[in-house]
Amino acid sequence: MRRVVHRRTLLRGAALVPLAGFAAGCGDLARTAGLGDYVRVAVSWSAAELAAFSRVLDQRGVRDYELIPLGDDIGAALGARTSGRPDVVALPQPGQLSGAIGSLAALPDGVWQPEYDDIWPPATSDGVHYALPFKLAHASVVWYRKGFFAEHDLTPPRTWDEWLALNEAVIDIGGPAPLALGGADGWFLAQFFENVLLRSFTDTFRELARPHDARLWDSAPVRSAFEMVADMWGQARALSGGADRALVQQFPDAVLEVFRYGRAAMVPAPDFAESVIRRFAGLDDVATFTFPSRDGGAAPLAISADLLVLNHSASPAAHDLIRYLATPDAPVPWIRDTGGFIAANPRTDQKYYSPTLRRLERELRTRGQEIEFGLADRLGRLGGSEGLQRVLQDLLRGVAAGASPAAAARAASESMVDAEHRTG
Amino acid sequence: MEIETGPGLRLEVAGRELTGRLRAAPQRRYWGHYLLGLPAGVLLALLVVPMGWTVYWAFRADLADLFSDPGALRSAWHSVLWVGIALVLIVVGYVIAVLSRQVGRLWRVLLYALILPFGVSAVVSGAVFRLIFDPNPERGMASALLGGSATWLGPDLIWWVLASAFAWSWLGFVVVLFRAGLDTNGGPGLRVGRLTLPRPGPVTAIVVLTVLVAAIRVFDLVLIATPGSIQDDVDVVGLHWWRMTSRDGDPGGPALLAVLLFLVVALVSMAGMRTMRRPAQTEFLPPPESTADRAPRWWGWPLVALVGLMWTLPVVVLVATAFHDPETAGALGWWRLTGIGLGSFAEAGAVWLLPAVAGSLLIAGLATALVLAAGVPAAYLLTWVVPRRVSRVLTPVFAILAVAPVQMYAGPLGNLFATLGLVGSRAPLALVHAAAGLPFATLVLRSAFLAAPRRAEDDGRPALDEMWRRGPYRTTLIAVVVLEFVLVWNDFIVGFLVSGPGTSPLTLLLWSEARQFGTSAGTVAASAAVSALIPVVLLLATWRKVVVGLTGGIAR
Repeated sequence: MRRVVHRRTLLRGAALVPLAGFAAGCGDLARTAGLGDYVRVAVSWSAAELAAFSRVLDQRGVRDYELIPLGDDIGAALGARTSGRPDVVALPQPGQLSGAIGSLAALPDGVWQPEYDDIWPPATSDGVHYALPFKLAHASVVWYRKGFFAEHDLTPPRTWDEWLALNEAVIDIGGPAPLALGGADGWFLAQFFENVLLRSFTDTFRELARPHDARLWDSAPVRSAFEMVADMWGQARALSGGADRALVQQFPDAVLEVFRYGRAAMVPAPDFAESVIRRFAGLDDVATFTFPSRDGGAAPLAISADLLVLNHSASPAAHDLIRYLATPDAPVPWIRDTGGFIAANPRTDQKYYSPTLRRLERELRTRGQEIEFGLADRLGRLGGSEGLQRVLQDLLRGVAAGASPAAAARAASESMVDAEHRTG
Repeated sequence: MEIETGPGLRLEVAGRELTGRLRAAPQRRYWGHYLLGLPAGVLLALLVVPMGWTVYWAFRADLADLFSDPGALRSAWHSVLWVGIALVLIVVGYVIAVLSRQVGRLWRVLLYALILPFGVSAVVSGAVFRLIFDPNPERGMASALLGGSATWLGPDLIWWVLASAFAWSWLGFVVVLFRAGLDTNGGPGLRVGRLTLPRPGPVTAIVVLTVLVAAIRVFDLVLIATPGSIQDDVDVVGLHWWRMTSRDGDPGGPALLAVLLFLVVALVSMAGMRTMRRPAQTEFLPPPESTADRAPRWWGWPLVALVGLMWTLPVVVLVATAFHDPETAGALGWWRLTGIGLGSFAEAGAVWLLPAVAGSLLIAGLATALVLAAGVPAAYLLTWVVPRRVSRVLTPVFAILAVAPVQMYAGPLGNLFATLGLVGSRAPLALVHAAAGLPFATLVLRSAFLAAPRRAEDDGRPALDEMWRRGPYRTTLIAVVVLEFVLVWNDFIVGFLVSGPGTSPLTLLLWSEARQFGTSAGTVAASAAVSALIPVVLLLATWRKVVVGLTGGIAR
């Protein structure tokens, strides 16, 4: 008899346990497990930058946040699929903002600095700001080894032709290759092309950033820009490890090629390359020059920025977090301990920057210096892995396979026209 | 007697009849038993309803659009290549299993070397093989050995890297199951030319089915092991589906692709099921003499050494990389003697490792409990309660659900999660995991119930609580618990596609940490090692029971 009772209880239990589980699942079990109820902060940073940002938040003294590293999928954090979560998003692409304003909360009062008006983004028509610039990046930078240049009497180039000649000279020395590229990261190649376009064909760059006819990608200036790129990348022995290796090498590895292994002399990379150099090689042998333009004349600088936005359902704690991140001292741990960070807030103390970064920071803030966001950050899907980034990876493959610069440029222009039709 | 389980719900529980003979009383009087299927029904609805939506969307899409998409066609071709890789792996595994019977006591060594990677997630094995084949000759072992003359991870060689990682994970499963089959199934040999090959018996179906389905469903391995610029060269159907959904507003195209993928997988699994369906009726010949104590053949040592070394090497690479400081691991290879320490663990632990481990434990634990609580009663029903003609229909349905690709239900479920504001919450995700794991668990339980030897006093149907008390059932329950826990712990795709990357189980965070792969080698390896430790230890401790449970008791 005892067995029967036992079995009956078990029968009932077996039927009910999953139902109880279902009920608990609908409530937030994570919270009961002590894992929930944090300010959820979605960021695109990973590795050392992610660690640096978490130190920035820790400096506040309250560990009431949860970091969600979304990488390239950061746009998904604003999409319809994530209603209500996460609370704060650090967005690297201002192009993704336009469609998302409706799901955002206005910035807290008093965080906006007038200097931000020069950066991005403009307020909505009623004067409300939704996105707070947090991290600024100088993207028209070429890093090189100071010692190597001094030893061989090389000088940084100012025009495109000087740069090509410099590459020849480095090749002739017979040691390292002139350039290292991180072709596995589409944005790295896109940024190179954008610099050529922005600094040598400024008007065309601006036309492309606005709504335009897809055939503009097949215009003479764009083709020239593609051809200049293909010409430099395709030069024999120009790339460290060859174009095949450059295609599977990521951005930090390209930086290591120059400053750690000494297999290349220069790497065109944004200011945040500094954190990689600092960590893996030290800053002793570091110098930079501005990405050359065709004729050496004045031209806008390419920038990128990480913007902080608040989800409309964000808690008061999330608003406090934004207020904190807007203060001048908030990014100090990142600047001081990791490097490769330029604060968007102009009141952040200069003394924490390394000499190189201080110079880059001043260059960005020079009165009268024009700055432009890169195309990849502004064109949405067309600037991403279905468009510009993929087209430049194909261009690199093309020159690796021996295509002529003119042919590679023609293919790239035509692919961009197609991509614009497809993604449009 | 009657019991009241809820307001207005009265259950008639007839305790005495439970021990009665199945045919002695009319079925109708046991309607209360069917309530046992309710939890399973609720969970399965979580799969079936979204799958219905996907089929509905697919019907509204144009097949011609899909076939004119060169990306879709290329991904389909790549999935076919994966089937080829799986078939080669199965043949190699069979050969090793046959040869292993001649190596005597060396089999133990081989076994542990082979079974270990099976507990490792695809994300971790992808990360390990990307470390080994890193194109940087300072850091990547293969590039260092070959002097950087070949571009590993490039378009020409990436398939070798991916196939190696897949083989590393799955060969152990193939060999151990074939070996178990060979040891118990001394039937007449298979004649191929002048060779007479021993038959592994019914396990063949399980092996072929599982490995083929795994090959067709490959997703996270490709995502983590392949540099961004090479992803198109190895795009597979599952990944192409994901790119389509994140790209197109219209769910029709991806739904159609998912349905086609599902049809292929379902056909493969139906073919497998035909031989798997009758485990209890298989006639067993007495097992051949034990070979464990026999002295190995002359080629035993080199064979075991070769396979053992090859299969242990990735573990060595992973652990050695993890025990270097981030600065050393990110710039130099794992074999360097400088910079050894716990720095990588400390760095990963400082940011996200611990919450991620807790999150994964919660999800995997909850999902496992749910699967057990729903699966045991469901298998009980399927084995002993429902009429034979019903179970004949239900069993294949479970088999098809067991192999249904996540892409079949991820779209509608993702929308549901978004609507309910559940994105990123862990408990609902555990529920989806439980639903996804339930069909397979139920099938394994059922075939074990069928195969278990019966006691004399039984009239064929044991009491439900005996599931745990009696040895044979307990073994199967342990197998199901271990497998489900390991599957959920190692999961990437369900969490990624249903709940988005913000849910923070370990594998998702590992993937995001691996975005700057080379220079993050230290922290990636440290987190990968932590994430692999729990399932590997669990599997090594219980592998015997898992094998017995998986083979439905034939390999006892």
